[in-house]
Amino acid sequence: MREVMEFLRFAFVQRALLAGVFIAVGCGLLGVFLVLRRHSMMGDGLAHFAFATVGLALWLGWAPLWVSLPLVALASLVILHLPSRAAMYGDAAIGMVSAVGVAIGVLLSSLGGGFSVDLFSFLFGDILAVSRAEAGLAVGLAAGVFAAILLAYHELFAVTFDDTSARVAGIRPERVNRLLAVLTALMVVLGIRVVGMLLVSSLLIFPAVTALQLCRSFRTALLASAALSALSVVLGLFVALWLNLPAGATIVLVNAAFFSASLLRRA
Amino acid sequence: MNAIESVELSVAYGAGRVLDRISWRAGPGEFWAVVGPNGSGKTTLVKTALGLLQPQSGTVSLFGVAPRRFDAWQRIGYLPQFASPAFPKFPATVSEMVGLGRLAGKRFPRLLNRSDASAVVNALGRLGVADLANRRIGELSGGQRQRVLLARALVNRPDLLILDEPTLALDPDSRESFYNLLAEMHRQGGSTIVLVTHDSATAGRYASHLLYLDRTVLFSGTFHDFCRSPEMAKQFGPFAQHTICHQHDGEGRSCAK
Repeated sequence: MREVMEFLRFAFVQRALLAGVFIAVGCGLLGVFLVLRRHSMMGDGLAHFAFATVGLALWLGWAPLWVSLPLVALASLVILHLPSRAAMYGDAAIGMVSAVGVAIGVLLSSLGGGFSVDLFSFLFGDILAVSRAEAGLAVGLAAGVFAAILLAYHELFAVTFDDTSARVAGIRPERVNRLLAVLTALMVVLGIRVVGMLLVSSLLIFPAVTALQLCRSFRTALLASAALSALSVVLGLFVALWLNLPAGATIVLVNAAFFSASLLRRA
Repeated sequence: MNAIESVELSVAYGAGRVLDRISWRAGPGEFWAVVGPNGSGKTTLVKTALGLLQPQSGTVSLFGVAPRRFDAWQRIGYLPQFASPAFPKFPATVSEMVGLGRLAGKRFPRLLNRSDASAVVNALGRLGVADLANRRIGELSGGQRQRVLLARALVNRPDLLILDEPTLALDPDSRESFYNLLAEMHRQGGSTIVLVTHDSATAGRYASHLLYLDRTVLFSGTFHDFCRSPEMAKQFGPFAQHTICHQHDGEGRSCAK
């Protein structure tokens, strides 16, 4: 315990905790909608696409976050609309966008040469390297995502449950889906800093699936998912610092442990 | 004003026309059974009326307004043919799910208040399922589920209630109980009911009007007229007409005689 308190004295740990918890809560909330709408892999596809946007930013010498946010949001809309424009299912659209992202990222890294090391650092995340400005931006954007979810809560709930009935209640499911896709894109870009591109989808999926094992109502499932997500980041971060492990991977394994425990509780 | 009115309405999926020039109106307080064989366009008709499908030609309106411009959704209660595919695993209580019905007619951010909560309690009580309020929806039996979905459709006390094959997954006892409930509500409420069903015989016992579809309108009018129509006896055969009308009279007499 004393060691934990010692870690808290460091500014970089405080920034990591602040940004990590805000991002985790946002991912935890959005994850419930994504999992129930069977869009779990959207986060994974967008994270892979972010490989291209981070590569592009590094190639241009710009800040990766500012390049990634709009481009990944655009990719989320492409994933959303591609199935209705071309005769295909949503998972195929995710696979295609994901593959194109990785391909562009690899091309840019081979063309750029010098920034490959930076690019690959985004694959695994580095929450402890979050700067003051990045932490501020993460908190601000995550707070915006909370506000959007709060305001659109009933519409998101209705469309997630049954979009046909939602439409007959005067709700426009296509608008709600666009909102969900763009919010997911924002959280994926922010989450990359916490656990990296390869693992960011776990922040969206694990807490939600764990909460769904435990909760009877929609509201409690959302709250539980957000709480589990935040707890996994805090716990994962301290375990990583204590045992000198990679923070991103540790956070994901803590999430997996929570999920296993929820299964045991159900059994 | 008619709750639903279609004029020369045609709907097509790709090259195949599913509804062909349907002209029909459901007036206030009428209880319509929409019947016909599989693929006759029953569900397509109600979905087009609700704006879920677009017509190829012709018009359809809800209370005189085209579905695209219609915004008084609290006047409509709808129970779709298939409940949400997420139903069994969805983490929602009965109260939460019925509460979704109260979103109709509200504007963004569509917040629910105390009067909405009280409307949910009333709707559940009306359908005799108040004790299920805090149950997870995935734990309900088929009969309970339909009552709860009906509670959601009725939570705004709608002027028009559209039920698409509501008894499809129910056993005979639950089906009977569901129809009795519907008939009782119709006697008390006076709203227009449109019941889409393949079970024309049972529908005849409860509905006042019949729309017989087979891509086009084969009959539209009261059961009384249907049962006394020699043309219908010729069209459907005396046995089919007897099967429907037998139930409608409730006395075991065929109206066609």
